[in-house]
Amino acid sequence: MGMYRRKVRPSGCIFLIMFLMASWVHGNGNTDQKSKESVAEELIVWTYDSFVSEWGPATGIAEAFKDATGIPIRFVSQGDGGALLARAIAEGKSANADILLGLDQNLAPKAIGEALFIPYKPKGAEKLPVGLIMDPDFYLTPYDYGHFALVYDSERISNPPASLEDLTKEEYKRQLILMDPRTSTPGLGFLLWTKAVYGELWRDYWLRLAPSILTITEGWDSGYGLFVAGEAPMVLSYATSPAYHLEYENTERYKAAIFTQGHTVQIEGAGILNTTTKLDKAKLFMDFMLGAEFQGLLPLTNWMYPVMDIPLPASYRLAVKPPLILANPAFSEEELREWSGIAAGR
Amino acid sequence: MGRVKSRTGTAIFIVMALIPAIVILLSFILPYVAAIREGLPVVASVLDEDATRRIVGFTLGQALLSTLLALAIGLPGAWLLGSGHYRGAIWVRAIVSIPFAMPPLLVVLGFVLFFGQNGWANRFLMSISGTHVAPLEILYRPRAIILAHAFYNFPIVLRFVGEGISRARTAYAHAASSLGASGLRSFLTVFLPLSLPSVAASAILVFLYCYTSFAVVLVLGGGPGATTLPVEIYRAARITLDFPRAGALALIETALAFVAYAAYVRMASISRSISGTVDRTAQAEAGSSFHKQKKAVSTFSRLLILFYTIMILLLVLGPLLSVLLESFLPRTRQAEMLTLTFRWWKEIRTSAFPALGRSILLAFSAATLSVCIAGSSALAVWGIRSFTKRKRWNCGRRNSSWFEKAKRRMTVRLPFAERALAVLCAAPLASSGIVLGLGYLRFFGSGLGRSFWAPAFAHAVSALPFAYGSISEGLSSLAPSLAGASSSLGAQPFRTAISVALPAAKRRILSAWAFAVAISLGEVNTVLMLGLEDFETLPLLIYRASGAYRFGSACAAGVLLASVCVASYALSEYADRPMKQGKGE
Repeated sequence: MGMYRRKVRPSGCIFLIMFLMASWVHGNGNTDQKSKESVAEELIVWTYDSFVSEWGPATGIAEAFKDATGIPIRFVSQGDGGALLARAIAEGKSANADILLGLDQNLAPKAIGEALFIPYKPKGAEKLPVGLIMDPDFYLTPYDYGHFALVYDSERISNPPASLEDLTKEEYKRQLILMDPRTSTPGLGFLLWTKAVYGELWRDYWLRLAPSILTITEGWDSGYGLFVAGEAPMVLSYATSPAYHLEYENTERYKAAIFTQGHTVQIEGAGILNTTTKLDKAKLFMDFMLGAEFQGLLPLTNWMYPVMDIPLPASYRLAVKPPLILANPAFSEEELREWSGIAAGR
Repeated sequence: MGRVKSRTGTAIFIVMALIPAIVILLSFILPYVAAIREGLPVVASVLDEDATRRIVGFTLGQALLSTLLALAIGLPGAWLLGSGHYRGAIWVRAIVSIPFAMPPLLVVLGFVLFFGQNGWANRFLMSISGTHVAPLEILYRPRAIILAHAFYNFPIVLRFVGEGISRARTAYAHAASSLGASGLRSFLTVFLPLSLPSVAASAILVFLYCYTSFAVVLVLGGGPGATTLPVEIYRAARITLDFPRAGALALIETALAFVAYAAYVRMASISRSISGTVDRTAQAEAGSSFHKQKKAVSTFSRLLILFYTIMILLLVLGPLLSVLLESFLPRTRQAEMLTLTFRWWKEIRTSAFPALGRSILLAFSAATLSVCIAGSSALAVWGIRSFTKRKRWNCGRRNSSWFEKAKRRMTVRLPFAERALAVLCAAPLASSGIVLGLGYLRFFGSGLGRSFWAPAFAHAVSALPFAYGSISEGLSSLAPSLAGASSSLGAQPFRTAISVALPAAKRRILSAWAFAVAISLGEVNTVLMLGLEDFETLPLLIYRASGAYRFGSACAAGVLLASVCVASYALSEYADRPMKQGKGE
C-alpha cells in the first residue's frame, strides 16, 4: 500500500498544479468578462467564430467604434454561420443581442423569413453596387464579399485554367481539391457557379470534371490545408487568398485563376435584430459598418473585399477582382441530391 | 438487526443509483430527445428516399470493414502487449492512443502529410527509387477511409482486448499447467471462449466510432462517394437548418447504433462476468501464474513485439511527426522545402497557453464529473449485485414474513435497475455529438446552454461509457469475497463500499479519469456548437487558426494538444497497469 501511494502522488501533484494553473487562467478570463459586463450600455453583436478570433476583425472594429461613437461593443461568437442563425431562430424573442452579423446570401432568405430583423437602410447604402444588395428592404445589409476562385500553385501549374471548361482538361487530372456543397459554403458557391455557367447542363459538366478532382473535403479549412501541404496544385477558395500569402508569408507562389466567363460570389451581411433595446445605437453601428474604417479592416482580417469603394492594401494586387459577378441560380434539394449522386459515381 | 442494516444498505445503493441516473437523464437523454423529437413525423418519408438508404448502406459497410481492419491490426498488439511483462507497453499504448484524442482535422492532416501524394512516405520512396511519380496512391479513395479508421481506432482494440487477453492467458496457463490439457485443446476450450467476448465488445465499440465518423470519411474518401449519415445530419442541422430532417436522420442513426450497442452491452457483460470468474480463479491460485508466465518469454516473441512496436510507431508517429514538422515549415517556395521557421509557433505563443489552460480546466471538470457519475453508478450496481445475492441466500432460510416477500420482489427488480444503469452509462456511444449539441441548445436555452457547464457535461457524457466500463470492471473483480468478508465482520454495506470497494478500485478510477481528460481535450464540436463566449480551448484555437490560413499555427497548437493527450493517456495506462505482487495490499 505504501509503495502504491508513493508512486501515485507525484502525478497527483502535477495534476493538482495544472488544475490550479488552469483555474487561474480561467479566473483571469472571468474578471475580463465581468469588467466588460459592468459596462451596461454596450452593443451586443452576434457573429460567427472566425470573426472574433485573434486573426479576425472584431477587436479592431470594437476599438474603432468606441473611438468614433463612445459606445462599447461586444462581439459574441455563436459558432459557424449555420449555428449562428440556428441560435438566433431558437432563441427568438429572448435573444440577448442587438445585431446579427455574418449571414451569407444563402442563409439570408431563411433568416428574413423567420422575421428576425428590423429593416434599416444605413447611410451610404446608396453607394452599394447593385449586385451586392442582399434584399431590397435592407433587413440585411452587406458588409463584405468574396469571389470564389480556383487558387493554384504557380510552381506546379504553369498553364492555369481560364475557364470552368479548362478544368476538365487531361493535364489537370487529379489536381483539384473541391469542397462539399452540402457542408461548406465555398462548395455550394462552386456548384452554383457551374449551374450559372452551364444551366441545366451542369450535370454533364460535373461528369466531365470528375477525373480532375483529387478529393472533395467537408470544409474549406481541410481542403485548403491539403492544398498548402502540396497534395494537389489547385484548390477551390477565394480570389483574395493569394493576398494572404503575399501579406503574411511574402510569397507570390499562390495565385488565383481568373475566368472571363465570370465568378460567383459570397456576400456577407448584418441586420438589426428585432429583440434590440438599443435601436439608435444599433443604427449607428450599421452606418459605421459601411464607413471607411470598418471597411478598411476587412481585407486583411476577414480576407474579403469591402463592399464600399475604398483603397485596398498593397498585397491585394494578387487578389485580382474578376471582371464579372454571376448571380446565384436557384438550386433545389433534389438537385443537390442529384449532385451527390453524380459526384459519388466518380 | 443484521436484516435492518442490510435493508438500509441496499436503500443507500438505490439512492446512489438514482443520482447518476437523474444526472444522465438531464445531461443526455432529455436534450437528445428534445433534438430528435421534431424528426418523428418525417422519419418515414426520410427513410423512403433512395439516397437515405444508400447512405445507410455505405455507413454500415465502411464501419464493418474498418472494424475488421482495426481488429487485424489491434489483436496481435493486444496479444503481445497483453502479456503484462513488457516495460514499454505503457508508452506504446499511450502513443497509439493519440490519434483517438486528436481533433479530426489534425488526424486527417497528419495522415495526409505522411501518406498523401506529397507526403513523407511518398517523398522518401521517390528519393530512393529516383522517380517523380508518387508510388503510394493510398488516399482519396473509399478504401482510404478504412485505413484511416483502422489507424484511428485500433488503440481501442489494443486497450480493451489487452485486458481480456491477459486474463484469458492467466487462465490458459493455469489450465495448461494444472489440468494437463494439451496446448491446442486448452487454447480452444479455455483461451478462445475467455477472450472472444472482449474482442467482440471492442469490435462493436470500434464499429460505433466508425459509424459516426465524418471528417475522416469525407476528406480521405475523396468526396460524396463516401457519404455517411453524420454528413447528412451535419448538413441538415448546420447548413440547411432543416431541423425535422436532422432529427429524423439522428433518430435513424441512433436506432441503428442502438442495435449494435445492445450487442455491445451484452458482450461487455459476458466479458465482465467471465473476467470476474477468471480473476477469482486466479486469486484462488496461490502465487499468480502471471509470474510464472513472465519467465517464459521466448526470443521469438520478443522479436515479434519489437517488430510490431516499430510498425505501430511508424504508423502512428509518422503522421504525428509530420504534423510536428509541418509546424516548422514556411512553404513559401517549393525549393525551400526544408527550411525551418518558428513563425507559426511565435504566432500562437500568447494565445496557446491560456487556451491550453482552458482546455485543461474543461477536461478536468468533465473528467471529474464523468468519474463521479460513472463511479457512483458502478458502485451502486456493485452494491446491489453483491448484497442482493446475500439476501437471496437469507431468503431461502426464512421465507415467511411479508418483509422477506417484499425483499424477494426487490431482488427480482434489482437486476433491472442494474441493467438500466449500465445502459444509461453506455448510451452516449450510440449518439451523435452534433445532435447532442443541438439538443443542449434546445433544452437549456441560452443561459445554461452557453455556460461553462454545458460543454463540461457534454464531454463528461461522451467519456461516460469508458469511465463506467473501466470502474465497474475494477469493482466486479472484487465483489463477492470482499462483500462477504466485511459483512461477516458486521460492516454495513455502504461502509463496505466506501471503505473497501472504493479504495480497491482507486487505480481504475484514476485511470478512467485520465482517459476522460484525454477524450475531453480533443473535442471541439460541442464548444463550437454551443458557441462558448471568451472560452477558446486548444482545439478551438486549432480550428480558428486553420480557418484563418494559419495551417502552420494549427499544426503547432496540434502538437501541443497531442503532447498533453499523451501525458494524460500515459497516466491512464500507468494507473491501470497490472498490479505487482507482494505489496501487501
